[in-house]
Amino acid sequence: MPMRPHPIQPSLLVAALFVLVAVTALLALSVGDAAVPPGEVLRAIRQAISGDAGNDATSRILLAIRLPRIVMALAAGAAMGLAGLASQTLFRNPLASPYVVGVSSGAACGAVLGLLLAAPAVGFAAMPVMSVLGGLAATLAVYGFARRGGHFGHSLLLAGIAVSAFCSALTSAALYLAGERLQTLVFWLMGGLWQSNWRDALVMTPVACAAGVALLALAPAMDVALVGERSARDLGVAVRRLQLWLLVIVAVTTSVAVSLTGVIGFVGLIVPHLLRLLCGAGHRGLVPASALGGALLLLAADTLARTATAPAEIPVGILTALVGAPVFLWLLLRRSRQGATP
Amino acid sequence: MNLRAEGLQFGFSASRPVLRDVTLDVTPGRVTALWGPNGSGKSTLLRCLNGALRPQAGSVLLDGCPVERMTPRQIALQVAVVPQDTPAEVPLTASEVALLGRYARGGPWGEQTAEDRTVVRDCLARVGALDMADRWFAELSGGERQRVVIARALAQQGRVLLLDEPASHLDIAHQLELYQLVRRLAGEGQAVLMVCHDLLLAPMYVDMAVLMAAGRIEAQGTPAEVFTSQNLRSAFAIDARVAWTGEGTIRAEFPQTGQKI
Repeated sequence: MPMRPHPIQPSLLVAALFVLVAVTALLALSVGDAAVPPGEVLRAIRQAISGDAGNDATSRILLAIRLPRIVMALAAGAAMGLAGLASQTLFRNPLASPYVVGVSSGAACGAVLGLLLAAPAVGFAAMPVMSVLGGLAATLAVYGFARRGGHFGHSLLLAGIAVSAFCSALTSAALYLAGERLQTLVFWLMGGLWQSNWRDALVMTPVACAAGVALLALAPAMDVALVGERSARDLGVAVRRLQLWLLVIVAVTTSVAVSLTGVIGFVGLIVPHLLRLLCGAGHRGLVPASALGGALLLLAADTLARTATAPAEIPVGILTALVGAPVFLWLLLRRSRQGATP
Repeated sequence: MNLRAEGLQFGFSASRPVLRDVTLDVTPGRVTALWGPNGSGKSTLLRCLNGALRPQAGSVLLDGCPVERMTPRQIALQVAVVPQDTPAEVPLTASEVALLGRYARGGPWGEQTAEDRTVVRDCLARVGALDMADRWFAELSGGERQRVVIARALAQQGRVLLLDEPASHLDIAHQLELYQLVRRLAGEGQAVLMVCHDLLLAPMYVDMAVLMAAGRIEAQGTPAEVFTSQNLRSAFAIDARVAWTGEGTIRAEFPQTGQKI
């Protein structure tokens, strides 16, 4: 029999990613302005778990500053990996992502408008809620146009470009009118995790977890959806309902992430794509792997972003785009060289 | 498990009906086959039969139950479809594609059971595709993909099998194997309906032949009853001399000029 085309068993890959995430999180806790040796980190964690939270400076740095940021990076990264996977399956295009199809710009546009127009009245909740609305509107628009316009994959990318451009124009208009809040908004748009706190982390984490569980439940149907709408229906999938679920999951996870971290691109695009090359397209493995892979990538990028040029910080969105865009182009080249082979 | 279409009317737009008053029975233990010119409504009929398209009038009954009231999963448990075309660019291996046939029977989290794996192996073996199980679906030839898709339909273990031009990508040896396979399935009690174009091999393996033209059923009966020079002329506008030999073998001669009547 010929060799199995997937290099790695999905369960093995998930286990390996889990270990990598844990190790990276430990490293991320220990590096920074004040270096804390890993042994010291473990001691502080043990103390915190046993209840007598040390009130020394080290504990405060770890638990009040670094840990929420790390939890945020893990949750937002997982959400991005999952949203990327869901949009690639939804659009039956392994190079789709919330960023490419315009959802991120819609969410950013909604968040900026929310911050400028609604925040004075509504407060903290205005940004995530408006961001989700913007993201949903952009997703629906792109999906609606792509469904009507001939070849689904092509129309999708074109509709994504148009909707993105429209949302960016709205965002620019809002920025133009932002007055003294311009700088805050611009920094937020670049995408970064430096403002992360426990409140943000406690919003992002349940959203990411819910998306993961929902996608695990949809995994068998998503596998079937890979062979196209018609066959999926013939095989027993309620296709419209599946698409609606995926659409909502993509829009909500992306929008909540954007509202809390700004626009961080390419994580959702690259992570599921690379993992698919490693363990195959079966969603039972790909869902947990994408969540862990996204978490790992964003945490590593953010740790690099806050330590590489310390005390200054690089917005992590710039970093992921600088690395992500060439990887994306490499994937494109690889695809066209290999023809249709995944 | 009897599948019955009653007085089906269907059109993608009101001005151009595709099916006009079609009544058809797909009976267990029999191979029924549909012939007809391009655009006569064969594939549309097939897609109405498994509830993928909803007719404007008439009904499709699966053991007396209207398919429009069944969920896709309930239908897929009984009716398997081999479509005319399957997109090739699917990032799965051949056995993973065949395994999708088990979706309707799977649990909520889609865990693969030992039974799933056995059924998929058996089905791939039945279509002679076991040796390509671990190759990428996208890298198979058209005929190989067709056999994998047939295996996927078999893995559904339904009791009705609908095949849309299943022989279209197959070489002569695999066509013969396919027809023998559908005969065996009918022998096991399945109800089989296939759309055909071939007038030389397929009629020999069919219990019931149905000839469609312009959305209507023009003739149905045994192949010998249906394939007459007159029926072929009225359905396809060709001039053919048809003769049936003693062993149920069809011989058709087509004039070389092929002029339309």
